[in-house]
Amino acid sequence: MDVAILTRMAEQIELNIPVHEDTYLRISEHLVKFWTPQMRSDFYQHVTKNRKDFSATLNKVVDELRAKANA
Amino acid sequence: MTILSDPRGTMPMRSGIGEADYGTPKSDSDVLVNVTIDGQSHLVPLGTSIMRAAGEAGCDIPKLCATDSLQPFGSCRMCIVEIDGRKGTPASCTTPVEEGMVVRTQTAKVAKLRKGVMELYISDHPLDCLTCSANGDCELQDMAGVSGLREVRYGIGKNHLDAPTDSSNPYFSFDESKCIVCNRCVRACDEVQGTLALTIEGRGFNSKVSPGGLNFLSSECVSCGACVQACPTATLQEKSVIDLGMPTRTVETTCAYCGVGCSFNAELRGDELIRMVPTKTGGANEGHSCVKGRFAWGYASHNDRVTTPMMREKITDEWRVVSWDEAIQFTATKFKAIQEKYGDNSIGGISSSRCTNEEIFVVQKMVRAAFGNNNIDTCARVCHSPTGYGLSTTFGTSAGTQDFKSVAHSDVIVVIGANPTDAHPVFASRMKRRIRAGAKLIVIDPRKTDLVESAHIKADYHLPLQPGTNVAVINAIAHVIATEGLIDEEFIAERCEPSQFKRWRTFIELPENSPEVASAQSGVPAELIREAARMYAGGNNSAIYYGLGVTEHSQGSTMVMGMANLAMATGNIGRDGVGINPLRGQNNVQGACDMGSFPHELSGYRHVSDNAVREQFEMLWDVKLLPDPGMRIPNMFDNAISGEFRGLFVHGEDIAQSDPNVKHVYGALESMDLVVVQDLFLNETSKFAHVFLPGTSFLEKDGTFTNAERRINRVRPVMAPRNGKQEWQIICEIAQAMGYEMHYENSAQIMDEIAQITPTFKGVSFAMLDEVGSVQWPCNDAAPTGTPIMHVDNFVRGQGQFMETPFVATEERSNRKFPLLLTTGRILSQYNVGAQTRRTKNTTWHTEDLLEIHEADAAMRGIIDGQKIAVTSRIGETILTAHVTERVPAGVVHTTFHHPQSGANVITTEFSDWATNCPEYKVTAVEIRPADSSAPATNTLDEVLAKV
Repeated sequence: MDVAILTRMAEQIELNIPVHEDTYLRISEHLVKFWTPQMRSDFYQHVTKNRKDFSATLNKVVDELRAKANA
Repeated sequence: MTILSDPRGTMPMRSGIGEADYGTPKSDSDVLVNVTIDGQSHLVPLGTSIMRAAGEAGCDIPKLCATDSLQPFGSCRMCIVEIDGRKGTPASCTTPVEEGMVVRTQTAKVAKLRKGVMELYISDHPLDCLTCSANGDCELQDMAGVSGLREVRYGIGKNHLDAPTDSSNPYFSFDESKCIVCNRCVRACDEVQGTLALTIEGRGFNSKVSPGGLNFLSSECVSCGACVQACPTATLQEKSVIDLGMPTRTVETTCAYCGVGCSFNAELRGDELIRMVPTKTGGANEGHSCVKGRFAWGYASHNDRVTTPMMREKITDEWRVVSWDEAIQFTATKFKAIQEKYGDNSIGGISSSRCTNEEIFVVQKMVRAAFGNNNIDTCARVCHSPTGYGLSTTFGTSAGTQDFKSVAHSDVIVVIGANPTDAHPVFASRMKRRIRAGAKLIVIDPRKTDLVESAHIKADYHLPLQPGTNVAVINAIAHVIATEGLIDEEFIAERCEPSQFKRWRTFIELPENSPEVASAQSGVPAELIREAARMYAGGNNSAIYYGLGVTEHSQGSTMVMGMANLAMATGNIGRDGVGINPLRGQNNVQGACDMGSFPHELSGYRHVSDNAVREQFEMLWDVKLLPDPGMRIPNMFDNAISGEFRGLFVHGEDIAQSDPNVKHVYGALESMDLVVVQDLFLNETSKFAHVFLPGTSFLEKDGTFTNAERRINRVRPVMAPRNGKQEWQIICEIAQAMGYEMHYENSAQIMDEIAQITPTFKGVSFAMLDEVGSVQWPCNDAAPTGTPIMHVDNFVRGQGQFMETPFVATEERSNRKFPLLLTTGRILSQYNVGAQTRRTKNTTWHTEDLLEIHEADAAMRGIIDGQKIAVTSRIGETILTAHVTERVPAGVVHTTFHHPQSGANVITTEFSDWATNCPEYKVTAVEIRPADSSAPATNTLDEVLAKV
């Protein structure tokens, strides 16, 4: 799936989940609950290759996904 | 003159074959009084009429102007009785029983009086009973028999026998010569439908029923059929009965249009459907109907129906009629070949909310068990998926909280992004009845819908917000409630999670959520928001009803949670008259979601990652299931374009017309190696299909639908499937051909499996439904008779969860190039993409989709009413006809999407709800110009105002 679409989806989710200390957890839970493994994997690959293009929160999200073996 | 006697020898049952009519409504009183009727004593509820008490006791009293769906009227004088200790002969319909009352219904005195009354009626009525269309179903005929009238002493004098017939309505006629001016039609239009289109014109001998306009078609009549239902003679009669004759048998079933889920008696003669009559025992509709359910069923036998399977190698080839075996083998072989080449995840399916629970359940089972993946999604994705997300998160389950009857107890009704008058007309009648009885009404909608102001209904507050700003407004309402001390602290302390509430309260009290800020964002005056908030919080029972104007936004899920927050904050959950109530668009949206049609959930809203749940399914289905979610519909399309997704089974949904940004959909469908469409008609999607499997109409299905109030209703086969098979059989055969054993003897067995594996359906079976009529889930050991109202003592999730709902403006905004915001909706006579209603006489009312535009916007562009106009968004362009109106505010335009040639979804965008990917149908930035002009509009507002 086009990573631009995944990026847009993830950024929309980030915008809509209020900022708290646990925001990255809520986003990663959302991705685990609703995204296919392929989508999570593609997004992980894309973010880790282009970390500076993504917010700190989304960087933490993909790290959390990898840490829990969800990406 | 000779009078024909009652041919059936029974009392009148005009309400439908086999349904008793007790003349006046049932009393709700718990107090019983003792009354003696014709020598027998009976205990009946206080407030019961003598007529009803007698009828329930088996002593039927003659009547003409009385029917138990209407309030007593007391005009026909046929129901007179004698009461010991009272003078005269009072009308039994308008006289309530009293303790110790002794009533005589069959004395010589009343018999003589009734015969005299009947003689007068008959003296001005055509005596063509043998050739009359109501022969055998005429209460006047029945009463003539009951009264013993044998001759009429009056000669030919002034009469109405040559009065004209109004045949303007496509479905029923009005034969004035047969009218006895009993007022039942007028009262039905008032009391049942609430349109008040009919009246009695003139006085005395010149009194006659009038639809107000030139004729019924040109009047305000909405063709709901309530007047036809109420008419005791052949005056208002279905044309199908006039043409084909009286039905002789009946099958009770459920309407397949909107999410109200009305119960009907399909009345047939032999195998020919004559008419659909709403049943009084129907839990959702209680004897009422709309123009679609009552009359627009002819599509089921339309010549366009495809009844044989068809195939083709390429979508540019002609269709080839094939056998079921060939179609099923080809489908299975091709799906397997795609999976072998591109992997298990390269195929998937889409289920339809138009189909039964049983059909939907086997479709998702086929995908999960035979396809071996979770790539199953449903058309609920594009309508109410945010309802699922929002209500599950806050309350714990994806369902409306109330039954429809609950609205009768509401003191304040808030309608957000819904137009029930057009989209859920039978519920709208119920709601309007309550509003006319005194409930307050708040409408939050960009358009001036009928609820905002129409004859006999006027909203107390209309918040005409800009499309895309729902969340700003709901937050501002909550802000007022939180900052003005209107929160129900006791309810929250008892029922909600304290830490989440604290977090929410801190958030909602921020100045950014104030009405003043929301006013700048939404265009709604701050004071209006404040007053509406106070009214909602101040009502004893305040209820929210909402539609796709809430869900089909980039913040659809946020808005659902915002409404749930509001209900919890004010304690408006868990009893009659309150709650959060989605008005579901299609007949079985609720059921499609319940049955596990979403890629992340098994039936009963249990996530596929739940090992214990998955193991139950694996044991039952004897197959390994995947623990991760599959693709949503937009994911399927995106992956098709990128070449990873190659095969799709589309069950009863026209995605090439109904999904947004259809060019993108076309591209996805063209990219696939196999598209299988199962439907009634060839449609836009089938243009991209390789296999077409004919489906069954609701008149042929055997199963259940679940309506918007979680009511599970039986759908019974009225006629044999025209394609020769039930749809669940076809699905099972595909699964079997792919190597997965899936077999049922009948659809009742499928429901048994659903009940076995789905806790909220545990008590449901066809036998149970046949016994009780319908039931609202959860129906299980804890609630064996179902659950009309949810979250009474506890929320399904335990404690209610407040959620912060920050307003995030949609990226789809008006700008210099596209300065108008397009929003979409439905009209009463048509339904969704029109596949059914366009194949009925409902096209009489709506031959094309129109673009509503405010006169200032029209004038600025030199557009006049009725002109063809080009509507352009950044995605595409379509041509519509302009309808200049003040229903939309300046800056907003509105259209329907019932006709494929209109192509409303040619211009809608790819934007969607952040949580569920439900498309943002309700906000598209567009520009408009006359269709015959390629030049951009040059008129400025100043120029227009100068001309004005």
